[in-house]
Amino acid sequence: MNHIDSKTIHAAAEAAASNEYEQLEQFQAASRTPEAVAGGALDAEFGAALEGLDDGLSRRRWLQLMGASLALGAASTGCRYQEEKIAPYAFRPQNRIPGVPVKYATSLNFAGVAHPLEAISYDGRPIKLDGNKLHPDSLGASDTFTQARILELYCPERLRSPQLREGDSFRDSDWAAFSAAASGLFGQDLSTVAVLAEPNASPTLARLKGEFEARGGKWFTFTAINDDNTRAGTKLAFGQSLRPQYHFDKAKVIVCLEADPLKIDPAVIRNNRKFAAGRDADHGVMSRLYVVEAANSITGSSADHRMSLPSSKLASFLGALAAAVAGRKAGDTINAELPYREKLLAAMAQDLRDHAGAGIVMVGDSQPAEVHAAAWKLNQELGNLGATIEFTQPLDADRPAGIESLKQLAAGAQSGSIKSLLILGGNPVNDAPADLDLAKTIGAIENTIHATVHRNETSLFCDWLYNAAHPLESWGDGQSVDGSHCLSQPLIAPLFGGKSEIELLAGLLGGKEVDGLSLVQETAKAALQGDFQTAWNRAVHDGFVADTAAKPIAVSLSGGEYPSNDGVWNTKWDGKSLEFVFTPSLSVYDGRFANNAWLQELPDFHTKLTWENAALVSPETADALGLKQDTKVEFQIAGKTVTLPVHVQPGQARGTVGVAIGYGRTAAGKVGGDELAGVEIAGTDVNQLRTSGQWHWVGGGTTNGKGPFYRLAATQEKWTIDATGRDEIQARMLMTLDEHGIRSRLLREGSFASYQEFLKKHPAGDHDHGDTGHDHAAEGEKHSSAAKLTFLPVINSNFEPVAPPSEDAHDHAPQWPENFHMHHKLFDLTPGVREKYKQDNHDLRNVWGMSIDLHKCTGCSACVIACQAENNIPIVGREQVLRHRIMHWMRIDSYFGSNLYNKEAAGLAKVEGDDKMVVHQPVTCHHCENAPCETVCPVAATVHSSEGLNDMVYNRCIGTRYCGNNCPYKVRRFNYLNYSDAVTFLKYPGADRLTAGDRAIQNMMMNPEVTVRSRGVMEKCTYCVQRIQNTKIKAKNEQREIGANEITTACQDVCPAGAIKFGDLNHPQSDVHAAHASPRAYVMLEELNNYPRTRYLARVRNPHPALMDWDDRFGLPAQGEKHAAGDKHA
Amino acid sequence: MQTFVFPNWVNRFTVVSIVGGLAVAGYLATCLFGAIHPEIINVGHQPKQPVPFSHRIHAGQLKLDCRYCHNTVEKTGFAAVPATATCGNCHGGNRVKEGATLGIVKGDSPLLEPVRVSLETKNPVLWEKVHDVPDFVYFNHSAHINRGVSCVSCHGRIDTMEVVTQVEPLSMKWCLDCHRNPAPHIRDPQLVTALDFKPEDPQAYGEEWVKKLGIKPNVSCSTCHR
Repeated sequence: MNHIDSKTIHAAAEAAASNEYEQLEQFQAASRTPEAVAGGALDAEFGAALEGLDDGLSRRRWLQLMGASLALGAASTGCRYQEEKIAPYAFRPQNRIPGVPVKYATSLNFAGVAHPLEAISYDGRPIKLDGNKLHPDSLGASDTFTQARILELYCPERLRSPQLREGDSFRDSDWAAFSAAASGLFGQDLSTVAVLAEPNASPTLARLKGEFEARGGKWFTFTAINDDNTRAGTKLAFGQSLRPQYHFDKAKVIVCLEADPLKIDPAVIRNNRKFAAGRDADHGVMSRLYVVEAANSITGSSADHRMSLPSSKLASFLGALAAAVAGRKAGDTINAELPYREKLLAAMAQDLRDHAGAGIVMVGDSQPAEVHAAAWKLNQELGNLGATIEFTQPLDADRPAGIESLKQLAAGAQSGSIKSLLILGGNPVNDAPADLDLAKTIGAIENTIHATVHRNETSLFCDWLYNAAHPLESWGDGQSVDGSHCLSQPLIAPLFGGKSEIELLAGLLGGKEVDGLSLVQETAKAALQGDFQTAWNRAVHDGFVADTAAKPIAVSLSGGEYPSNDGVWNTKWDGKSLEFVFTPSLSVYDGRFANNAWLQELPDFHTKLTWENAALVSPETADALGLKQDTKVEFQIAGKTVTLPVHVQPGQARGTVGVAIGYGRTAAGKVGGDELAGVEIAGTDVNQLRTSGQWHWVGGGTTNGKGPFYRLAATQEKWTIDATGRDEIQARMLMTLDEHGIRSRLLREGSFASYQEFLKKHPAGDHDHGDTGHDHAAEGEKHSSAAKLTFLPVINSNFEPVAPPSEDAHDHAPQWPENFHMHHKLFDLTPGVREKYKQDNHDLRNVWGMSIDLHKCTGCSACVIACQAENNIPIVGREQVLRHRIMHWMRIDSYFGSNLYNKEAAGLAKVEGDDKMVVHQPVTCHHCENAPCETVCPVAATVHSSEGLNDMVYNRCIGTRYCGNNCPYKVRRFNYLNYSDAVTFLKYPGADRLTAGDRAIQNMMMNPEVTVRSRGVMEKCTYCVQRIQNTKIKAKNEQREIGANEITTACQDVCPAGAIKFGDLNHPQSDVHAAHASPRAYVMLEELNNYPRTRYLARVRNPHPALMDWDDRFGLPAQGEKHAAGDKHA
Repeated sequence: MQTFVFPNWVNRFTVVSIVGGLAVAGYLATCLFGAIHPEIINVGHQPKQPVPFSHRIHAGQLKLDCRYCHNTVEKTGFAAVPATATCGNCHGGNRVKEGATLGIVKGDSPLLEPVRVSLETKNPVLWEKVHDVPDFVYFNHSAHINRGVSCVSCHGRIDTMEVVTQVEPLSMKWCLDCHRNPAPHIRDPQLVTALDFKPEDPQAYGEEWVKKLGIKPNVSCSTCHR
């Protein structure tokens, strides 16, 4: 108790000093409702308070069903398992080998450009999508949206036939009737016909559009998330509509003003790759990223310095930045006396000035054209244009802005000049600005057709619905972001019939049916060189036509003015008025993926919310307005009222409310919600607040801050490795805290400067971390007596110092796995285990291991979805998420910290809470040598393989869940219900079970290489053991060794930054071998003596020297601070 | 008051009922054991096929190599029951016009009708699976065939079977027996389809090939279960 006073007194100083990364709940603790507090820790741990939730199937009912099914089972099953039939081909296609997956190149249009892909087809069924390894933009990586598109293809709710409106409902019709009706509208003269499409990069569609417009038709385009402002900005600055191409690898300084190039961007994959290439700290290359934004973005969480600023003040900030750049010359120093935010501005300006020609100033699409033009002007003055930024001409450069386009459509409809409207895909009724009332516009048009894969809100207002083929079922093309001509080929015949958009449009224009292949070939003729058939075959094989990337064009600045340097950006929030900032959802995008269960259940990268959006406010905003975490509160804004659950989120700009669009869809389907069918709606619709004038943010909101308790389905706390637990473990292990009085840390990071210094002292190959986890002797490598400095020095007073490895750890000849050094002197719990390894795996080959580079990870969560697609992981639904039963094998923990490198900023962040630094840490099974899960399983259902994998044997598992309890990393997931039976498309268990037919469709999507788990079984990451085994068999059949990096896991494949490496730790050429030997490598929870096979590489930040008033070269805090930190644990 | 005394037959009855009860329980246990033991329920499994294809004639008398029909066995996990077109090479009949190379051996046999129908309609012949391991077992033929495990080790003398019958239990114990002591089942990979091949000393011969091929079978769970 004596410490309480001193703790209080020291709180602020200690907070600044400690720089501890905190989990989100710590920020939210202060803003908890009494209900939530009453539930307390138990609730957080077990989800116990949720017992009363109606989950559609009570426990009693469940037992009844179980009893009944047992009785049935006994009566009906024979002794032998089910008889199976074999159905071989009548004529097997040449080179088709049953059971061998084949990869085909294809592409999908998304965000206005084509994404080059590679589809894995298993016996004729596409089961997974990855990036196209041949295409320079992708090189094999992809993102969450791409990964989840496969689920969309097999969705049983897709339209199965044309539908005709009858009163308020639709009835099934057929192609003949639809075709007759549609052709009737498309005469020779098309002056009364309009098409409303999404921006699309398909040259074939562009060709058809040209034909359509030549005959008098009117073409409109709209989509909710677009690059209209960027285009308008280039038009203002350069006189033409252009697509900027950023070279993040060449940049030394990157300033993102509400731009999110690492997630919401057409070039997302390339940006990630280049950004990672420009930050190769191990080889001395490191750019510096500044981000100024209102709401958290993926890019923001990767920033070296992030400042939160309301969207409305960004123009003023740019004005100040331009003025600061103009007022500085290269080599100037920065006044250390300035307040932090002004110092940050000065540092940014100085950096841009110092690295003229190697900087990027990028503005996001939420900012108006004038701000974009100003940024181009600034880039021009710094000489960045042509160096780090180039421009190309997009295919649809003449496209008007979406909102303008809709206004013209409305005018045409009201005046009666448009009599027929064909809507190609999309969901404009849901997405359009509220004031345009698109439903009314559509209602005013006599004949309306919606060609779409799924029925949606727009469909409800149309006369005809057409069951368009999915892009994976049809021929198509598109320009990727670099302008190259990509092709898509059908991977499966249309499951529910239907034609693609281009086939439909061409058929209507030409009056007769046309097949997609000939349309696409016709267009490709212009791009293909030489003999057509040869070139075409090559292009289909590669997925794109080589050397068709757009050439950069020279630009000259002709417009653009800097906003005035009025200092508005640095004014304080009035404490009352709220600015709503609308952001794309990283799960459902603009709402188009609302019926995609994988994406709905994907925890948001930052808030970890699933199945819903929320009003995100910073802790200070919440305090000022009395907003409480987990309450549903009414907000009044611009004469409208919206009720949103509150989520306290550090990093949100003061006085702003961040809210994701795309939720609250009323006709999404059985997953995302369907008002007519009575399916609960996921999230809240905020499109009603967005008008054509205030599309990205709207100010002047108010709230009384009060509302009823509403529990958000966030996953952040579910698997927390919390301090209390770790202290307890340490106590039980009879371990004293180390000399600095602290535990080892889950996260490690350091500054680039100190890392460079370390590397200089210990050149490559010299530093022996003693940690390499493989057999040096086997490689004939001498164990050097070199650097004993064990770890990247980090300045965190609470950073567990990573005590130097004890000398005796290096005394014996290093031999795997004894070579693992321990930072703490521990007992070897089960020496027998390691002896057994050596017996089983005589030559210590195929020692599988993984490394995850926190420096490269942006938290984009693509790995989570890729794992789900690869390993047949079910979704569980919102109610089950609330019960902590989410099934993802991989989770991404987010930690929020104060600024590590600047006392003032750290203090400021502690107070303001909106300039937090973030680290994302993917966590999955670590495959411990000394696995705690294995020792507690009563039935040996989880055991070790001779290659060090922690095997999970589903068939043995009886569901005691002891292993899950004993896992320190909390990576085991238990099938509480039969999730795999019903869930992937339908919310479990509120919705019905799948019908036999729907089940057959769902089964088509499953990866046959991975067992589908059922109720009562524990599961977890297997290191993609199916890929390991198949590659091993392949190599053995071919009588060769497995290549150094031949085996890749699904999470590794998808990662655009290349943060995850997998392979044989004993293979001297493998990437993972090198990664484990890196001085940045460390083991999570090392003190537990688990010997995990997964290691993390510490994060490296590159703070500006002037913003670093904290010397981090020695890694340890000054004496006084150490004591302060020590007190906490005393 | 008269005390109740158990009659004499109770002594006998007690013994008989205990012994009888145990006997009945033992009998039931034996039945249950018999009903689920792989040796009993799997060995001898002989389903009726839509076409009474005789391996004895084709593989035995005509000496067709196993891989003429099961031609993916060296490349992939599945040995792949052949496409109907393979049957049609000899037994195409004369109704199919487009495949001019189809043979007409037994062109009119009513037993071959399903084959001809399949060739005409391009629908598969639905064969009954004889050797079936549970779905959570990932057995790979190529891994075994390329490493000198003969077909005969698991499927028996198919070349002598009129109707294919399962001769081995295909139970996990049975798999592990071989993975723990592979030598008796390893031979020159060239000879894997020579079903009648029998070395003089299988153990010594096998050990020689185990050494030559560097065979170290894995017995970890994830070898077969994923």
